Amino acid sequence: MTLELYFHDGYYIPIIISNPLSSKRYPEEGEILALIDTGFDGFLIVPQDIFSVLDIVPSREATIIGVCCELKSEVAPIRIIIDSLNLIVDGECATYEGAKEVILGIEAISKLKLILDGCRHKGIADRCVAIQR
Amino acid sequence: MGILTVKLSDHVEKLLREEAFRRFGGRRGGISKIVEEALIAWLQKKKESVRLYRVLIDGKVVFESTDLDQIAEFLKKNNLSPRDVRVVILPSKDKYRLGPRGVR
Repeated sequence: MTLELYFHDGYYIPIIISNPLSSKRYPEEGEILALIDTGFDGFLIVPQDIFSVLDIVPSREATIIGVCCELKSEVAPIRIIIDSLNLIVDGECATYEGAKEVILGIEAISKLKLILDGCRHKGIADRCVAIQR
Repeated sequence: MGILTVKLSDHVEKLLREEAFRRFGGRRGGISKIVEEALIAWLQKKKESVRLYRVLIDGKVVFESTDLDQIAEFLKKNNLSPRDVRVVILPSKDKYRLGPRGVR
């Protein structure tokens, strides 16, 4: 059970973003490609419009520290579903003014086994196995 | 009942035998039981969490879980909307680092 990553200007993984507290999901049908970003140390970033569509009630504010500046963000509980891997992960998502992409950070990646082949612009994702050597 | 022949690495086989001995004391069928449990767990949808969610009403913790389905069920059972409560996410991070692509 593996999933091929999509490569464009980065590695992307198809996910469904779900808010079990409002029973809403995004997208309503199919999946959205999330950029795999090891430079983000959180779980998930979504643009503000997705935050609204999911009817999310923010739990708190947090600061996002980038190269250029610091931004205020809103943080809330969230679930990602990676259907092809039969995997559900509960975490939290942040949004801020100007967020344009769905970004999967290092906390979400910690539940995945990723193999990136930079030479061939290919990559695969799998669920973590119970016994790691 | 089916009989399967599978190949395991020495390392995994050793762990499997140790676990079977620990749980079933070397009785017959112990390994099969563990393999069956593991396969069922794998084939079922796997649910993970990286956070603990705590539901607060008037500053008092009324429920907590690592599973958002359980939080949703609690709210539904008590006729509460997510706006009636405060859901605290733990561990709470107040700062995140994001590379140049996210914050330009």
